[in-house]
Amino acid sequence: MYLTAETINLQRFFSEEAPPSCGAAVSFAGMVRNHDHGRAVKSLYYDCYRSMAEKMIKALIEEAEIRWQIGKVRVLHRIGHLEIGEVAVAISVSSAHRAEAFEACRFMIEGIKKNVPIWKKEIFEDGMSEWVSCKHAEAAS
Amino acid sequence: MKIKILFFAELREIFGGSRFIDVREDLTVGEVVDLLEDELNQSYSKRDSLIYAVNENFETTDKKLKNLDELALMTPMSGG
Repeated sequence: MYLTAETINLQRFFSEEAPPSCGAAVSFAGMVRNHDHGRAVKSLYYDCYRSMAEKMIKALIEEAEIRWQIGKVRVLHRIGHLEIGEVAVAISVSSAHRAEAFEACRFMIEGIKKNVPIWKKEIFEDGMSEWVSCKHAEAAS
Repeated sequence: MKIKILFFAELREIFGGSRFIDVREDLTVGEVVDLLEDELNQSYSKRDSLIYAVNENFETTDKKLKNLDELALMTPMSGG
């Protein structure tokens, strides 16, 4: 299960120990920020195609495992309503040496943004709201 | 044949989460989307940017549909 409607607790997520063969662990967390393109953001809402998104994240992990010598990849993506500062996505990758973990972690977050059917809606302080489109999302990230 | 169409995000707000439609055999993804064109035109101007999945696999508009296929109409993704 890579998607959750529950609050992601980073301390708990990142506390899991890497396999003993791994000398490096890279962690990434994406948080809800209070502005986008000069507009004050109040909160976010994430919709998803749940079954396909789970499948696509699993496929991304399998691809990373083929491309790099890595130990363990963990991913948790939040769905539903999120307040400012909450964690939207958490990723950790362990590997024997650091380079592979950094590269695979980057690959995972970019892949999730581009290819996993999850959509973000920004709710602004002024009461307006807007679904974020792909290009917009790339510029904002 | 019967096709289940799934909508997400912006399209979910317009069409609701899903609907079944009865169509003739061998229609393609593009032809099924044509059937929704009037509704799409009224509400969503970026049809060219739509992304399609059939039974959870990305497909192009040429993909032929089978009875009880699940067709997802998706706008560009913005997770992460």
